[in-house]
Amino acid sequence: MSEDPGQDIHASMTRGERIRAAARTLRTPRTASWVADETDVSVKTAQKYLDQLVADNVLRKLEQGDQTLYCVDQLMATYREVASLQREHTREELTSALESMRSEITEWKTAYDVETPGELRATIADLDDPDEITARREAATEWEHLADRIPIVRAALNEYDWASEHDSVSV
Amino acid sequence: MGLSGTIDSAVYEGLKDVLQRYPFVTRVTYEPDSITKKFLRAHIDPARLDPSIGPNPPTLDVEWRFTADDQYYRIHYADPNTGFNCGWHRDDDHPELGPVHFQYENPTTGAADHQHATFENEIPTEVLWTALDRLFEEKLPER
Repeated sequence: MSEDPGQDIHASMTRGERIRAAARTLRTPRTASWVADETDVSVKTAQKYLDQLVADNVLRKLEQGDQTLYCVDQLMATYREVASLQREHTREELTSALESMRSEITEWKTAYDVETPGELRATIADLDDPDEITARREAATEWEHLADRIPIVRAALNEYDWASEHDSVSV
Repeated sequence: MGLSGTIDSAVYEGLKDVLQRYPFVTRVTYEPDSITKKFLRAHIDPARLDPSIGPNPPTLDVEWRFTADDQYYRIHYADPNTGFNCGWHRDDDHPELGPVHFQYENPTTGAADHQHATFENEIPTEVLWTALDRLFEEKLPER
């Protein structure tokens, strides 16, 4: 333990690890020089690691005019997410999480008499009570998040047995 | 927590990586659980803090959300021993302070404030790093 651990953090990650962590956040396509600037490395270094991440199916490379852009490979990221849910959770855990997410959504539908988070947001315009506005805004945000998670958990459950079979290690 | 926008679990993987490498952090969990994944919680080792604050591990909650053009986040530290809490928020709560503000609350002294804050970088992992450095090097020693 050094006297000033905070100082060590950038040093404790190699340039490659630092770019790798940052690359997972590239939701908007960016050039290697933008990433280099943000992570404080040379363009050549950034490019080297970004190309490696393209080869590893973490990033996608897009050509736009004479520019090369990099962004997260969302399809592969989703598959990895499905695989980690299958590997880290039992079928029962996934099923009960799915049920509780669905029942939360049903509660919002009933409580606010709406079908979608968008409809719930629309009801805010007619309200004056700041607490009620906050409550509805938070419910809508939470609802949107659960609506995003449900298909991923369902996908993990759909092929659960098939995935477990392929995940077994013969010793 | 009431940020608007979408959560991206791929982004959380990158942020988790940064938190796990930080020397004060003992472990990082997804909250409320690793299926729902709403935000990340880093558990801090109280023995490594100077000045020491008590036996209970403080937490650092990290939530990130995205809209088409913007990112919103909360990086919030809370000490269960003293009630002291502080953090950087990029949300719509204090538009007069700009897009990002730093806020703190110290129940022991009664001090609390919201201040304008900025981060040079846009990439979430670099923003988080800078926030961690500021928290442990400047904000906590002064609390």
